[in-house]
Formats: sequence, C-alpha cells, structure tokens
Amino acid sequence: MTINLLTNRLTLDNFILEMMRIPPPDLQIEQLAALVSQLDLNDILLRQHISFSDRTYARKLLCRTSRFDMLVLCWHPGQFTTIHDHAGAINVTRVRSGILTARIFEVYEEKSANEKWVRLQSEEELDRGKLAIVDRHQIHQLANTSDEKLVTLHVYAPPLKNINVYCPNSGQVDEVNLTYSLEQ
Amino acid sequence: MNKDIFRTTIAIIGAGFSGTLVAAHLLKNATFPIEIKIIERKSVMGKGVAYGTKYESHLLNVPAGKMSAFPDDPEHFLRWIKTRPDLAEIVKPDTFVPRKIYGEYIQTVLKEAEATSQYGRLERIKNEAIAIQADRDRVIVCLSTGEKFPAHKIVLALGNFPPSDPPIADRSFYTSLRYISYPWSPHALTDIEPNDAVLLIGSGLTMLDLAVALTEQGHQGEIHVVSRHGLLPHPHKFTKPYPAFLSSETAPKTIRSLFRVVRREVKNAIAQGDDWRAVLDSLRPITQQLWQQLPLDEQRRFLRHVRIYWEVHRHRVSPGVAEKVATMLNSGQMRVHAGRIQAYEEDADGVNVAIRKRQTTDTEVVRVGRVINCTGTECDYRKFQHPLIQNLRSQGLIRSDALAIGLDVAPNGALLDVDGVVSQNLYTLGPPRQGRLWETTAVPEIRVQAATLAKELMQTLSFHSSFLHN
Repeated sequence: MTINLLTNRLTLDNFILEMMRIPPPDLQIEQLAALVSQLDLNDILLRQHISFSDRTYARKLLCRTSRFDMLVLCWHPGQFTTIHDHAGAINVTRVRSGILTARIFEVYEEKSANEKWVRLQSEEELDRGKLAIVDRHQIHQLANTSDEKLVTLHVYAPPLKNINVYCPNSGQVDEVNLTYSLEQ
Repeated sequence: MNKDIFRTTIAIIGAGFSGTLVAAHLLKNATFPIEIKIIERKSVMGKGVAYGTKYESHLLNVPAGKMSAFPDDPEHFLRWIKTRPDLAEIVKPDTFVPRKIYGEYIQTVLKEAEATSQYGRLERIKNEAIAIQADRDRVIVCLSTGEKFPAHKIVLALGNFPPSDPPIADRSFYTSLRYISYPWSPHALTDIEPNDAVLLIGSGLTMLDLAVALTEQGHQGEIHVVSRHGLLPHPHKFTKPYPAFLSSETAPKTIRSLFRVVRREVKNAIAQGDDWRAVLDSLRPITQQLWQQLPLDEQRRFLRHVRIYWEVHRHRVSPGVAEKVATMLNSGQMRVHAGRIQAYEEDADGVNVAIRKRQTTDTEVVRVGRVINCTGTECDYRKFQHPLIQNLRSQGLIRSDALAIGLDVAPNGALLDVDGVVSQNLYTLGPPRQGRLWETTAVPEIRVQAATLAKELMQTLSFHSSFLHN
C-alpha cells in the first residue's frame, strides 16, 4: 500500500490522490479502511453538510470523483437504513459524532436472484472515530439506536449507482437507484 | 410465527426501570401461560439511562431504605444489599448508594423473577421497535431489522427523552464537536482538557451529575452553569416526619392559594424547629390527587410560575453530592449564572458564550472549551422524531395530554388515541404519565405503577386466555 508515511493524516486532496493510484478493481477493503481512518477531514467543511431530517436519515454528497463517493449522513435517534448491499462497491463508514449501530446480514436461503432470505449475522456499536467496513457483496444495515444524534462519513468505491434492498419478511430483493441531494 | 398467535404475548418496549419492573411483576404473578417480549435497543438490559451510568459519584437521590423495587416488600433492596459482601458492611438504610449498583439490583430482580416464574416466559430482544400495526384484538410490533411479531398487549416503557437544544437565533454551534446535546452521551466528558472551562446549560440534577463526574475525572478548569433562575437543587437532610396538614378535600383549588397555604405551613414549622423538607414530604402521598383536582388553567399556572421552585425543593440531592458541589462553589471552580444564552461565537480554540443576565440587559461572555446541554428532558411528544413515536402519532394511536408534558392516559395507564378513545392494548407508565399525575418519574411512584399495570394486564388477558384455551 502506498501511503505517505511522513504524516498519517490525509487531507481530502491527498485522499483523492491516493484513491487515484489504485485501479478500482484492485482496491481492497483494508486499503480503503486505512485511508478513511487516516483522513483528516476539516470539521468546518463537514459541518456545512450537517442537517437532520424528520422523516428519515439525511444524506449529503460531500465529494464525488470517478473513483469514489464521499457522503455525510445525519441520523436522529431511531433512524435506520434498509437492509442492503452496495452492488459490488466497497464501503467504509467513519463515525464523526454519536454512536453507530452496524449490522451485517447473511443469506441463509437463496431461491432465485430476486428471492434471498437474510438473517442478522453480527451487530456492533461504534463510537467516535471507529469504522464500519462492508465488502463488495456484504449485506448490511446501519442504525442510530442511541439517544443522541449521529453524524457519519461514508466512502463508496466505485461511486454508488444502485443498491440491492432485502426484505426479511418476503425474501424479496429489489434493485434501487440512488439519487443524492447536492448542495445548492 | 403462526403458533405465536395462540400464545398470550405481552410486548414491553424499553427495558429501563419501568419496563423491567412490569416484566418482573408479570413473571412473578402469571396465573396462565404467558410470553413476555422485552425490547431494548441498548446492549445492556435492565439499567436504563438513570442506572446505566459508569460514575461512582452518581448517587441515588433517595436513601437505600426507600428504594425497594416492590411497594409491598420495603426491605427488598436492603436484603439484596446484604447478599453483596462488597456492600453489606457499608450500606445502611440511610445511605445514598451509587446508581450503577441500583442498576445491578434491577437486573437481578428480573433474573430472579424469570428463574422462579411458574407460567411466564421471557424473551429479551436487543432491537428497536419502529412501528406498531393495530389489528383488531392484536397488535403487530415491527422492529428496525424488519422482523415483526404479534402481541396482545404492548407497554410503552419509554422513560425520559433527551433534552431539546435551547432555542437560539443562530443554531450553527449545535453541530460543533464542542457542543454535547445529550448529557448522557459516552462522549460528553471525553477529550476535555483538564484546565479548560466547561459550560453546563441547566442547573438541575443532571447538571449536578455532570459536575461531579467532571471532578471524578480530575477536572481542574472552571465549571460555568447557566439557567434562567440560577437555582440549584436543595440537599437532602434527615428530618422527623411532619404530620399531614392538608388533604385533597381541604386543599384549595387554585395554585395561588395552595402556594400560600404551603408557605404558611413551612413558616410555622420552621418557627417550631421543624424542617421545610418534612413539610413538603408530608404532601407526597397526596401530590397526585392535588394535581388532578386542579383545573387545567391552574395546572398551567403551576408550570409557568411555581414549577422551578417545586423542582429544586422536591427533587433534592444526596448530601454527598451536595457537599462536593458546595466545595466547587466555595472554591470558585463552579460559577452559576442566572440568565439566558444569547449567542455562541466559536473559533479554533474554544467558544465564547454570551449570557444575558436575568432581568437585566447586561451581558457576560464566558469562554469555554465544551458546552453540555443539561436542561430537563423534553416531554412534548409532538416534537419527537423517533420513528416509533412518529408512527404512533401518524396513525392517531397516541396524543399528548392537554399540557403537552406527556401522553394522554386513562387511570389504568391505557393510552388515549387522537379522539380520546381508551386503547384496549397500548399502555404506558412512568414519565409519559406526567400530564395526568405530575409526580411520576421516581422509583416510589413507578414501582407502584408497574405492579398495578401488571395486574391490570393479567386481568384483561385472563378472559382472553380462557377464551383461547377452552
């Protein structure tokens, strides 16, 4: 892994450069995790994207390159994602403030491409600075099960176009296209 | 899943003190087969927020002798203490025990009830309830992982909600890492430079918790406290009981007269060498009745004008904590400001907080490294964004009480829907009953509610159960 060893803090610029060095198919989840953990993101930059929504967690695109997406997600207590995978993208999430509940699911019965039955495999609670790591075809769910607000930073490589959503009650798998609210 | 339909199921949402005690009573007293599913989103069951603290200096605000979980067995907690070699020698009935010990006691209460239950079966579910679907005589509980299960009764044991951020024109500081909006956050007191000044917003029992936790971790910097009146809770003192001087029949029905009667009584008591605490404590058995017979406007008047004085006299603090706080005040480490925050001005090294002093136009600026919101819990259910509350609200299954300080409930704890119809299967206890009872957030009240509610659930289900099994 080529990481600038003079400093283990990466500015956003350097993070982008490091991501450009590795061809996307070769990028390993461990490499991405190392880069995200070294990212020294100016909190003033990040704070501009913090806003919460009453209906569901709020998603803001902070940076998009040909190699990755970087998003800020804001969660009120009780808010959560669907159970989904990233359709081949790898994903690392870093907790900026609050406590994140990260759950990994496993397929225990696969009837067809559109019917896969999933169950909870593991769950962990991550606080400030900790990472949640999701490999290319892992199925996961993120939630704020705490009493305080949660702000997380997400990197997806390559950029996320769509995800597969799993319904634990019907076994149904749906492909969902993603759209991001861009800052005006 | 279908076989569950034939098993009587009670779902309890929340495993703090309220929920755990309802479960324990159901397990102890079940007279027919019953399934209890208790859902808790935290990894630790049975402690809730109050008793989940890690700090030794967070003490109960009630002496051990009065903290039994069972109203009809007042010695229960003391007997449990005796089984603990590390506590038996040091804890007396008048000791204010660390709250985390009490959390362990509550967990034991549930474990014992579970082990000795004849008919009850307990399932602990670490998950979060996000929706409830009403379905004739049953309800479906939906969890955030997508699972669902049916239940015949649901108890919302929601406890206290986090405080709201104090209103201010420019809210941008509330996204800062220097601001802690939830005082029980595990991050509330991490990464504070020992010499940095800290500002605690609010001056009640939560503020005292944070202040003593700061000293426990060796904090040296100034602790600024700001609240509208700048009043701190009074310390406990052991007093001889005072004879009842009011009854619900003789009590006046306006706050002004009631206030006057109590003040006069306190004055006389002090003149006779008695303590004001004893006078107030003599009201405790009838507080809920006094509250209920006040007209709505009078209740509002109480909240507006008397509440703050009631809180600091009624919700007192253990002598140990009071002593620590007195030391901080005397040394000048703690400074209390009566006033309102006007603005936050943040820079790279800290934040300047402008405080307008009470009843003046003077502004004082304090510079701190951390601001912690210790204002009281939010209890206006119209404001809550939690998916479960939103879901119940959108279906019209709950409504706030007339004062918007809790949920509208029937005397048996059943929730009222948006039209005021009493639910047959949704119940609550503890803080959400504040509008109806006023006095409903402490162990002595909640333990009675838990016992009564468990009985109520059993009675209404026994008919249902005999119907099912015949």
